[in-house]
Amino acid sequence: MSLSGEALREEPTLNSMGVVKSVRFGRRNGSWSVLLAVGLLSVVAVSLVFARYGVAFHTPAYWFLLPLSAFLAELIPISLRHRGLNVTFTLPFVFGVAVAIGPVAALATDLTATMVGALVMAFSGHKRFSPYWTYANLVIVATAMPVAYFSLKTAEPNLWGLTGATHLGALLFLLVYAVTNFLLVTALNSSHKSAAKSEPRPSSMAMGVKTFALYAVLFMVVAALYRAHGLLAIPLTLVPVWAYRTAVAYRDRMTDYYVHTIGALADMLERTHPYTQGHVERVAWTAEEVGRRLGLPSHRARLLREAAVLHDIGKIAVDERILDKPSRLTQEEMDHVRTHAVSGAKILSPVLELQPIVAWVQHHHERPDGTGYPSGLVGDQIPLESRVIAVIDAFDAMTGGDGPGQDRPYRKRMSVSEAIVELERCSGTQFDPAVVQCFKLVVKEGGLAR
Amino acid sequence: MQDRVGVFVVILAIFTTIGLLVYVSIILPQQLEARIRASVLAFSTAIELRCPTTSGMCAEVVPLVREIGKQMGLGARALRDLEMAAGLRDVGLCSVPYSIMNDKREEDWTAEEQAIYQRHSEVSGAMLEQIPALSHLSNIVRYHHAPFSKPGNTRGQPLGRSLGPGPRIIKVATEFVWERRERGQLAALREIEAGSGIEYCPEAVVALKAVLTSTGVGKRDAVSA
Repeated sequence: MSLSGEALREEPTLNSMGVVKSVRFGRRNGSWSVLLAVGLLSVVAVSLVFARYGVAFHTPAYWFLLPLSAFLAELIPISLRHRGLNVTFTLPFVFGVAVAIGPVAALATDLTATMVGALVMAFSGHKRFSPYWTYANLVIVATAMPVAYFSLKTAEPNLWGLTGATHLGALLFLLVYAVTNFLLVTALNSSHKSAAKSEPRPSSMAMGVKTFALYAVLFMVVAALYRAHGLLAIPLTLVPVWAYRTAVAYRDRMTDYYVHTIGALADMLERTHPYTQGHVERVAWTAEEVGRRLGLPSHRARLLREAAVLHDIGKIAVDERILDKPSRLTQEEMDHVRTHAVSGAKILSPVLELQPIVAWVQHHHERPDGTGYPSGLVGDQIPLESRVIAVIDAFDAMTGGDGPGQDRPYRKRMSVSEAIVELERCSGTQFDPAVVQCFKLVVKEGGLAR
Repeated sequence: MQDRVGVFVVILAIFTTIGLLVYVSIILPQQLEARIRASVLAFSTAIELRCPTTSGMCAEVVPLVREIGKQMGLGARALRDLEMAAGLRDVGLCSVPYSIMNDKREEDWTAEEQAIYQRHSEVSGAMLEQIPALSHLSNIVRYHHAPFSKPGNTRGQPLGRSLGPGPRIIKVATEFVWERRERGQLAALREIEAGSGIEYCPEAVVALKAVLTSTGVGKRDAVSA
C-alpha cells in the first residue's frame, strides 16, 4: 500500500514556520562544499550586521535567558513524518528579540540556539549534526543579507509602540525570515516523495500562515514582556509555545492515524482480494493527477487519491469466488458484486475525515446516461471525483488487471490504445467526456502510474 | 499609550494561552479519541458486512466487555483499550474465505477450515501492529480466543493470567454473546460457567455474572432463555 509505511529516509528539520535545518549529507552531492560556502557567507553576513548595529544589549541577562528559551524550544522538535518535515519552536523568541531588541540580537539568538541545539543533538547520538548546520546557516544568511543591506537606509520608528529599541529592520528581518522559511519548506515539501508531480501549492503554505499568525501574537508578547518586566519574564512564553507544540503533536497524530486507517482498510481489502493491490495503487496515483488537471484544489485532489485507494473497499463484502470467476457472471452474481459500492460507503461513513469521499465511493459506478448503479444518477449529478475514478478504474480493468477474473475468456486484456478507443467510444454514455479527454492527456504525457 | 498597548497584548496572550491549553488538554484528546473510535467502527462494519452472521456482535460485545472490565477493577485507560480491542478483535476475518464464513455453519467446518478460521486472531494482531496508534492492542486481539488453561497446549501461546485481563475478558464476553444468540442467555451462561477455570478466566466469569445481575447489559433476551 503506497500510503502506509512511508518511511522517512530524508528527514529535514524545520523550525516553527518550517525552516529547513537538515537534509541528507554526502560526498557525492558536494554538500560539504556547500556547507563551507554557506558557513563563510553566514560569517560575512553576520559580521556585516554586527558592524552596522554594534553589540549593544541591554542587560547581560540577555546572554543567558533569551538563548536559553530559544534553545529549550529548539530541543522539543516534532517530526511530521507524512510531510517529511521536523518542526522546532524557536521562532517566537527569535522574532520577539527582533522586535524588542533588534535584528542583531535575533540573529545571535537564532545562531546560538541552533549551534547549541546541534551540538547537543550531535553529542546525544543524533546523526544530523552537519546538515542541521548547513541549512540553518543558509536561512540565516538569506535573512541577514537583506537586513544588513536595507537597514543602512531605514529610519528607526517605534514598532507598534511596544518598545523603544526597535526599528524597521526588525520588521524586514521577520519578513525575510518568513519568506525564506516558506520557500525552503515549499521546495522541500514538493520534493517529498508523497507529493504529486504537478502539485501547485503544497499545503505547507496553510500550515505556515497559521503558525505565523499564532507566533505573531507570541512574539508581540515576548516584546511586551521584555518592555514591562524585563528579560526575566520572557521564559513565561515557553508555556504557550509548549501548548502549541502539543497541539501540533496531536494534529500530527491525527494525520498519522488517518493515514494508517486508510492503509489498514486497504490492507483488509488486499487480504480479502489479493489481486486488488496493484489495481488500487495504479488508480490512486493516476486519479490524483487527473483531478489536478481538471482543476481540483490540492486538498481535494489528495482526497481523490484516497478515495481511489478505497473505492473498492466494499469488495470486502463480496465473495471472492465471484470476483475471480473466469466465466461470465450471472445476473445474481452481478447484483452481488454491485453491492460493493454501497458497502464501501457504509464502511467509510463513520470516519469523519473520509466524509467527503463517501459519496464518491458510492457513485463510482454511475454513468452519465443514468444506467449506472447504485442510484442511476445522470450527468453532473454524479460527483466529478466519482467520474474520474470511473474512467481510470475502467481503463485499468481493461489494461492492467492481474487477477484471474480480469483476463476472462469473453473479455481479453486490451492494449493501452485499444482501451483509449473503448473509453472514447463510451464517452458521453458510460464516461464523462471531459474526464476522458483529460485522462487521454495524462496517458499521452506518460503520467500513468504503472 | 504604549503601556496600554503592552497590557492589551499581555491580556490577549494570557487568554490565547488559556485557550490553547484548554484546546490541547481537553478538545484535542477528545477529537483524537473520537477519530479512533470512528475508525474502529469502520473496521467492524467491514467485517460485519463480510460475515453477516457476526452482524451486531460488536454492538453487544463492546458494552458488555466494558462492564466486565469495570467489575474487575480496570482503570479508565484499560477500559478504553478493552473497548477498542473488542471492536477490532475480528478484523483478521477478512483473510478467511467468504465460503467458510457464509456457506457453512461452524460445526460443519472441516479440520482445515477450522485451522484457517483460527488464524484470524493472529491476522488481527498482525494488522494492528501496523497501526502505531493501535499497536498496543495487538496482543489483546491476538489472544482473544486463547483458552485460560488447557492441558496439552502445544502452540506456545500464553495461558492463564499471563494473558492479561484484556483477552480473558473479551473471550468470555464474545463467546457468551455468541452462545446467547444461538441458545439464549441462561444456556449461554451455563456454558460459560462450565468452562470457568479451563476455557474461561474465573474472575471474568464471576464478573460477567455480576454484570448480568446488576446492570441492564445482557438482559435483553433473558426472556428467550
